[in-house]
Amino acid sequence: MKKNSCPEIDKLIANRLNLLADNERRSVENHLLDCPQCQKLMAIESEIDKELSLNFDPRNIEEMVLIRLRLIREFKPRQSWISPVLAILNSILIMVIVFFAGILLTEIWMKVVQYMTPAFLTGKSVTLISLMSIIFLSISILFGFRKIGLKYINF
Amino acid sequence: MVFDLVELVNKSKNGDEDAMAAIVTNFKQLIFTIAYRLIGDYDMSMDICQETFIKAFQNLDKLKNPEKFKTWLCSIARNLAYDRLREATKILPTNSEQNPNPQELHMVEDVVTGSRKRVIIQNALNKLEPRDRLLLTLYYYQNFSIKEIAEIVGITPENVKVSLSRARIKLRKELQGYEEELLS
Ligand SMILES: [Zn+2]
Repeated sequence: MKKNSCPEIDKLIANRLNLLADNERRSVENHLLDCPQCQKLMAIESEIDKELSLNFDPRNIEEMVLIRLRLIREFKPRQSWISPVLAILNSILIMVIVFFAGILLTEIWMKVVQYMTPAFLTGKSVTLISLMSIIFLSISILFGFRKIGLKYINF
Repeated sequence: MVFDLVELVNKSKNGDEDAMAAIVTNFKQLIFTIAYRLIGDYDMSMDICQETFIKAFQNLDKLKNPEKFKTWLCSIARNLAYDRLREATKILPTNSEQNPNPQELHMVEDVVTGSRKRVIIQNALNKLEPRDRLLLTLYYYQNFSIKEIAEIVGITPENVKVSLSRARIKLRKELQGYEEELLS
């Protein structure tokens, strides 16, 4: 059993970590000199400290790290200032292409509609269908170019 | 040979593989120890250890002050380990006391040359918060200043000592009942 005068374990630990004020530290250390129970607690603490101070070794990982880095570098171009500039140019190009493609497609569609619209389709629904197909085409073109862009340019 | 970290970092920036290997050799124990103390699993820690170095070498350009390489590297390891903990809370040995996983125990013993004490300590550590585990690991790993520890753990330097003693006391409580084994 612990004596009444024994300091709390928290205090003993704080003392090991040099967290106590001078007078407290002195009284704890004086107590430790002739209290076997607390000495035993401290022995346990020092075992814990010893275990916590261990370093573990992952053995030879150098070669593996270098190999993995080489593999990554082969598949990813080096980043430089060119990449963001190319990315911006790429986006502008895509926008221009989509814009003109949109106009062109509208023209073509209008011609098709002019000659081939069955009589039951009113002007309104033709416009709606045209608009929808243009939107779909634009989106697919945009994604297509984005994919190509991503392949060659590192965003 | 004198270990000149700044020179090695600068050489690594230019893709010098010998310099990179030297850096890995110098810090692998530290990073593996951090990963292992945080994760408690040998294979996963090995993975995090390698990933830490790979990420560091890939982002070396972002490190403005090569003097800070060590704390920077530790922060990368910390982030990777925290991510892994968040992803895989289910498979982590948080309850190994009641239900010891023999495979895990074997791995622990394998890593640290077969001591029962080591298993007991690591199991108790696994019950603490990751932040406390990191704090204790860095404190007991030599050569870290309070400021460096604060930076890696993400607390103020004034808080390090108090948090440390709290973590250490918590660990002591988790170890209740194992006193005799620890002394043997
Ligand atoms: Zn006592």
